[in-house]
Amino acid sequence: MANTKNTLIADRYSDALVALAKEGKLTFEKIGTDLTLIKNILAQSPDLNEILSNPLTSAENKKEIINKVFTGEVDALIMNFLKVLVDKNRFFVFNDILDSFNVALDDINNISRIRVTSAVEMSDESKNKLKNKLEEKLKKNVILDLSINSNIIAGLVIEMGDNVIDMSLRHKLEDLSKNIIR
Amino acid sequence: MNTGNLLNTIGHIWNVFVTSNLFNFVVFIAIFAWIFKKFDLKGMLTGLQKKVADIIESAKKEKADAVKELKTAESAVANLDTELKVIVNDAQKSAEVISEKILKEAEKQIESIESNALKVIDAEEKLLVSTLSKSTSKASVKIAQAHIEKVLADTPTLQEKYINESIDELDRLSF
Repeated sequence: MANTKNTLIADRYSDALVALAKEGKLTFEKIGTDLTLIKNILAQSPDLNEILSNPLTSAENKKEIINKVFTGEVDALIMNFLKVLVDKNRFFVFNDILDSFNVALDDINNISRIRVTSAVEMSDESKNKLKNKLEEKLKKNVILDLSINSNIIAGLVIEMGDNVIDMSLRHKLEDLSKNIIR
Repeated sequence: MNTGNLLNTIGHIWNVFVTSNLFNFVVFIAIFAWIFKKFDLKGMLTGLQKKVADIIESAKKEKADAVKELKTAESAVANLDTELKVIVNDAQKSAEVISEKILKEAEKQIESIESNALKVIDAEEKLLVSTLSKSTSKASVKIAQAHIEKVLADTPTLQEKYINESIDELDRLSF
């Protein structure tokens, strides 16, 4: 998890990208696609990430590398954005910026991403039922991030940001155990 | 009478006189008187006499003191039995008081130890009950979990049921 200081820094740069999209210079989708592409390239090449984040490497060298690697791959405005990060020695918060941008994008699009854990794979009927129920309750478009964990025994664990709604059988058994001990 | 005869007579008388006891006695007295005067024999005798008198007086006084002390000692010895009895009696009383005090203190300590022991036993009992309850509840929950897991494995539709119940439960929650 990103630390608070990095998140605050990332939020400011993310706001700048959102402003870019609102001014119509780039679409939200294009910005999101380009940033995701850059993230994937950096993930595949840890050395590249290291060089661009290293404060000992000169800004000129970093910009040259950015030109060589990303020209033709991402929009020129995004390349300029990367160069600003290099100039300000903030390249190390790139992934946080992407996360912050996605959150901002979700807010703009009224989207709520919800992580759902079940003990077995949910049926399509249950997925739809859950999605509709959450959309109805949150008044937002819901994107479910589904995962399976047999440790919860049965039921669902729903995570919305920092809120966790644990409706699993494991949780109910734990509650039962605590109540018996009292 | 002529001078020669006179001298002879005087010489003769002198010889008689010198060789007589009287003469010797007079000489002796004269020597004794000189010694008596020279060495103050009278004073010495008087001093000796006084010293002897003092010694006698001192001896008498010591004798009187001794008699007095003897009487005191006799008196003390005469009361010895009584004093011994008083001392023994006092000692006995002190011993009884001390013994009673020690006994009371011991009883208090025994009560305190007994009370503490009871408290410890009570606490241990509660701890044991709590531990047993915890162990029992944990074991019960484990058994229940194993049973539920078996039932879920035997009845796959139950998983869907629990998922739907969880979804329905969202109705009761406020966001």
